[in-house]
Amino acid sequence: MQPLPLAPEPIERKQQVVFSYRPRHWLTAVGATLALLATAACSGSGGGGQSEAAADVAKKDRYGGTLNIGLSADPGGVDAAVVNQVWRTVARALADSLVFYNPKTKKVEPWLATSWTVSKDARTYSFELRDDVTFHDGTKLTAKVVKANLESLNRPGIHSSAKTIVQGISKITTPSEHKVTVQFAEPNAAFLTSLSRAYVGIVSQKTAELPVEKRQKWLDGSGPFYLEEYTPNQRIVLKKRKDYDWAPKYFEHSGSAYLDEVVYKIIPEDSVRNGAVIGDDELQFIYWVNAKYVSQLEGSGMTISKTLNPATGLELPLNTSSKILKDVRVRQALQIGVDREQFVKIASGGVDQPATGPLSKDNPFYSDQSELLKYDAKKARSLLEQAGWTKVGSDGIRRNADGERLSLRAPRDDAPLQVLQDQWKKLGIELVLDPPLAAEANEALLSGKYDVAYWYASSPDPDVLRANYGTTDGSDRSFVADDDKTGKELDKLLQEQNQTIDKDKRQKLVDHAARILVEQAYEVPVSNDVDIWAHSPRLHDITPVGLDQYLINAWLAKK
Amino acid sequence: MARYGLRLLYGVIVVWGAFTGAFFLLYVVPGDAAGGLTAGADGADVKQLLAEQRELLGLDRPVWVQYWDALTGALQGDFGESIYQRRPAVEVYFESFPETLKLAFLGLLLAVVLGVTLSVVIELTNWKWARELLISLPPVAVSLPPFLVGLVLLQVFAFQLHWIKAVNDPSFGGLLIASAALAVAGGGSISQLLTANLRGALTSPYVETARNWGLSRFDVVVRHALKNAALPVITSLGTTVGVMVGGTVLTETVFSRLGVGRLVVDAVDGRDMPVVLVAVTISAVIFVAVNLVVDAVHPLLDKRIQWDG
Repeated sequence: MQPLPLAPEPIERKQQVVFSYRPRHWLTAVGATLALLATAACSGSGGGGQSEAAADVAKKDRYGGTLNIGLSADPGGVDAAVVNQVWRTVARALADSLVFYNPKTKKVEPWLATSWTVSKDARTYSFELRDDVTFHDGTKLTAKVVKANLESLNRPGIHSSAKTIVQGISKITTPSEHKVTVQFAEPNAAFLTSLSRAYVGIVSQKTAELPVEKRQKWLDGSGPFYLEEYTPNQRIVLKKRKDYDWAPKYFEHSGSAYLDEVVYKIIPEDSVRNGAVIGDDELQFIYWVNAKYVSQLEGSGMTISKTLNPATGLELPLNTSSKILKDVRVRQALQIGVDREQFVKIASGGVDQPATGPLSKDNPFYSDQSELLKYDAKKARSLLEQAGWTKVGSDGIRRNADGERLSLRAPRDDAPLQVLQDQWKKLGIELVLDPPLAAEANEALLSGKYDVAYWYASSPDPDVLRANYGTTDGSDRSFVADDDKTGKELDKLLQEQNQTIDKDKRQKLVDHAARILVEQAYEVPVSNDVDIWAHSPRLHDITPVGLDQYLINAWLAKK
Repeated sequence: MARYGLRLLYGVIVVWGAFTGAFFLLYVVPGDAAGGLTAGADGADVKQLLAEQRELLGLDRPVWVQYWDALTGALQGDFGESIYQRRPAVEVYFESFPETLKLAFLGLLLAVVLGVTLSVVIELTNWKWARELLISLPPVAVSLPPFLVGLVLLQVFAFQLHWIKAVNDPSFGGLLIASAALAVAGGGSISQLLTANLRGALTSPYVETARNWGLSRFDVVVRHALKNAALPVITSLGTTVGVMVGGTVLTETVFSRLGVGRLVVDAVDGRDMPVVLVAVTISAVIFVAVNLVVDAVHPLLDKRIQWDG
């Protein structure tokens, strides 16, 4: 459910902390208990009848109100282009993208760009822009502004991964006031989908030129809301733009947003956030609710939405250069030694879904590899024996002929990894949970000292596999050795899928790569995340769209 | 007066030591601000991002150069910019400082009132069972963590009675309840110490004399015994202030209040060196100042105590 990359504590669950701090565990436990008390006290309020009646509220009566949203930590900034992971919250409402990713059709649709062409070799993208779009500072959207936006992502100081989106751009031209052409040195089939992300929310020329340290605190965007106030660790206030009128067709919404104001409040403590959404109407919406709170929130009349996240979820790259895991048989034993059905039941109360391949079912290029992911403890044991891990010590851990223990290290220590630790222990494999501190995590993960790793990378495009596992161009998260022929083949497929525009051809390449990833166990896909959001029954039409949250349609019923 | 001069010099050494200790401690623990800033980056460029940030932040310079820069800057009151908030660390700190000061001061006041009242009530209680019960309260209070007390108070006053807002209530009521969460443990420890000292004082000859004058029990305890029993408690307040400031971290978190406690915990996690150094330096100055004041107050309370020289 909530695996997230770490950020300087405390950040959004998802947004942040994978590497949880042990002392918080007991804190959370106490909090949970108290929150239960809170529910008992407050249940009886709210009700389903109200929300049914709400569907009848005419559009003109939906305007007004302040939506209060609880965040577990300060996002560290407001501009997704320069700060990691803000796109999960605030940034999407401030800046619109050139294109919109429709989660239902899984296709890219017009937004600030009305139409576009992509060359056959996936190197040249041409966009025709809307001519009626303005920024909050009153300036107009033109091709030059888009050019400045894309260029601004590629300069030093930006500490988000937004710049990977514009990497490889060789030339940007502006043939007319509302036409912009982007050329890549190498083919880049993933570019269009990447552009739909909040990372590349289009901001005014002036904002695009701001230095990173200014831009993280302020922006004039093209979105339905503008930034009114940002007080770090306290609140972020957005106000609606009355002149906004360019929502994607998907929302069937014309004109400005319904809400007058959106206030994000930073509330570090889980139980207080839950209590505030249940209790006094202090909050109407909270993100990434831990599955253990769901029944409590539902019991007190809150609306719960559960959405499959297009990101991969709990997916563990294996270090194929590590002493033990360079033997493919051990990796395969890990792969089929995971009982994924049981895993999601224990780790997320059955909310998350067992992984059926390296990509989530919500990815447009989903590839079903479930046959290779079936739990088979017997086969896993025999693979380990073949690999020379024959003796089992008094501690239940296997040893090889040299007396070495079959012990692996992983960078997280939380409920999901503990479930895996348990499952693998039954096969005689020890999993040592050794989380790095947040500020050293990137360094530690890159060093290769972990056998089993964890990163959070998400995208509704199959190119996320290349980004994670590509070696010539990519992060090489399974540390492919120079003499690994299968690894070379895998890389070739991963690079090729990003050079292929034809959908069927690309799907074949992705299928092939996915098969190698799973069969040769370069990674262990465990589960797909289901995002749980909880909100007051007064709040309507705030269902998540893919990875992002859109507030354009959200409205509050009058009290 | 020379005595004070010497103590002041010790104070300066303590502050410098705290500054230097904090710098090198934060330096040697694994991870740095570049790691913190890039946490959550999910692209293939994490390695370059790390190197680039290290260069921009000057973290690739030799540690002595970094230390010298930090120290000379600090001496001129310039601790540099907070790495995450991109504004002067001093500004970031002093935005939170008054909030924590209010919380800790009110917490301390409540703790003293709670602790002293409880101790006096214990001495004035006649029934043995009630007395035993009251005496068992302070150890329980001391062992209650402030966040637990805080959550219970929120549950009662925010979610049940609706007297305060659950999230960062800016009113005095909100402050009072947050500081009450802080005061429970402090009050417990004051009461523990004071009760023991009152016991001692009440068996002294001067109290016997007071009784023989025919003074009421209340007068004996409050007017005579309390004054003498209070001395060690006042000495201990110096450290209680430290404990209070430590406790504000949890209280601020539970009540979603802006504060130095939360700020410092986040800064340490993210290796935000400028913010950590401001916080440590100011805390050290406060500690030194409070203890100087406590020393200065002693002779006023007990004429037998005098500084040499």
